[in-house]
Amino acid sequence: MDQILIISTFLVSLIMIAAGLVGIIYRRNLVAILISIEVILNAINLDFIMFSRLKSNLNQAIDGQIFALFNILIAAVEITVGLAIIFAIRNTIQTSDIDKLSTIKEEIEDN
Amino acid sequence: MLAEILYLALLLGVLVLSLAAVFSREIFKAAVSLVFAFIFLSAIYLLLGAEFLAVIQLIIYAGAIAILILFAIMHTPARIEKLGDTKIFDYKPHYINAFLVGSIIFLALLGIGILILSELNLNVNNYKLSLVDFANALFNIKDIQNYGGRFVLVFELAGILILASVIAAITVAKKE
Repeated sequence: MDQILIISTFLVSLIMIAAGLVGIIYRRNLVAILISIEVILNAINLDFIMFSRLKSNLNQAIDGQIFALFNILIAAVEITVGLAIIFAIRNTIQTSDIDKLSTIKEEIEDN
Repeated sequence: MLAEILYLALLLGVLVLSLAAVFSREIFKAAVSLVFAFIFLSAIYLLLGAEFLAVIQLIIYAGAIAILILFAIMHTPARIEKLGDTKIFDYKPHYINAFLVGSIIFLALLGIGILILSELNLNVNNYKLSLVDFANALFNIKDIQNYGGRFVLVFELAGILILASVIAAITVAKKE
């Protein structure tokens, strides 16, 4: 029964990682891309915590959970800076569509 | 037995909700399903014996990050885009690339995972990890022989990283 649970958790986290990668390329809204990144980070956290239970040493078992803790912290930092960048983009060019951002470089070079 | 069934049901819920968060066309529905995926994940962490991380997940993800994302969505001026005729799948050329990249990464990770899982012995150890163990691993420098305080430098760097991110967010988002 443990094997079934471990393998199903691993498959779910793999599907979440693949779906998040697809979402980063497929979505055009910037907030939706941040949501996809959050899905990927949560899948990695799930893997860290699940595999840390397989360790025979208590120190190694707590290593996985502490890595997940730092991963949550990195996610918080990333969402803060990402949303700040999105607000800055909205303030300057009034869009959150990532396809419309591809012309920024040429406009700057023209000026 | 009941715990295993609950665990599998929660896993299915996480899978469906995170797929909805990635692929839902309305950004508000995506954000709300992401919040519920976070809450389900914290329940999974509880069942996996990581109580501290379950609480942290509820506070930071389902509390702070969800509010930030919903605030960013609500802050946008309301602009209802006409989706044209509502086809289920309107084709754009980059969709093929997206699904190709996703399936290649999925297959590669699946191969690596099968290799790793065949090497491991899949026996779950039921530790009772308490907050004292976390504090030992993070802060207890005097017990360095027993690997105490081995993450103290990473913890300090994380504090500096949070400070830098707050400064960066204020600097980037402020109006001239």
